[in-house]
Amino acid sequence: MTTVLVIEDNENFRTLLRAFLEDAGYEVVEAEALDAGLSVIENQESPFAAALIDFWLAGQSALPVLDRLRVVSPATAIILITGGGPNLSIEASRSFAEVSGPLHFLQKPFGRAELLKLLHHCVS
Amino acid sequence: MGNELGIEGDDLVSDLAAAALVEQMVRTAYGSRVSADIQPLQWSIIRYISRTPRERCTLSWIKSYLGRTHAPVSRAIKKLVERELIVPRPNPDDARSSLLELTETGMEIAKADPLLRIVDSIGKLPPGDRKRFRDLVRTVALTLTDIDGQ
Repeated sequence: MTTVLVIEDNENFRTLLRAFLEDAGYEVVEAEALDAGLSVIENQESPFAAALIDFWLAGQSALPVLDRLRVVSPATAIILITGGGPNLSIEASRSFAEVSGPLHFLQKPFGRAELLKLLHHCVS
Repeated sequence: MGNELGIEGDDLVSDLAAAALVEQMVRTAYGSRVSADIQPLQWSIIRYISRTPRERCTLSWIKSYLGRTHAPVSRAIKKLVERELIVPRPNPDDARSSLLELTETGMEIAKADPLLRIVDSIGKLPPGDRKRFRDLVRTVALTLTDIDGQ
């Protein structure tokens, strides 16, 4: 089964993402914060096919997670999801995330079909 | 060395020169004949449309992405439509908004994006320097924007 890592601090949205992904046949590993995300990445048994990562995790940027994931698991497709955050445009957030390596990008809000279409493209 | 800017010491003088060169790079890129006719916000809109799925090319998505208010984005879009660089199409999902597309001319203009001049220069760096440059730019930009308390 294809495993997808979800790092998202909003519990309701994280639950919704898990439901979308599990319904589509993906196995989901989730983390709710920066530290938990780093821990999951360090302890993964096999590389995740893809990682859905919110740029803002409780007011902190997800850049440390992105940096670590690119080192530990370079084959994992990264999908950055963001709806904007404090004092930084979505455009700038994307640039901060993209300057250190390629990623796919999905601006919030998005629906199930949009997410699965992109994810399928990333893992196939 | 001392001056009215309060810049003292060789390192600080060189840092000021580096900052001036960063500014000069951007000015030079935006100063070409084609680029100068289009305002930076208009370039951002052209860039957004050229790399975003069609169904997300509405005024609402664009202003949210760029972190701008309605009025300046609306004015910039109007200008681009007047210059026939973008064209509004009916939105099948929302009758109140239009889907914005680049025209043939708009697509040609997009190839003259001023940022591509800087991209071209970065691409000429040796691979190690290229990565180091990107890392350093990110670090300096993080400090400036003060995210993550840098």
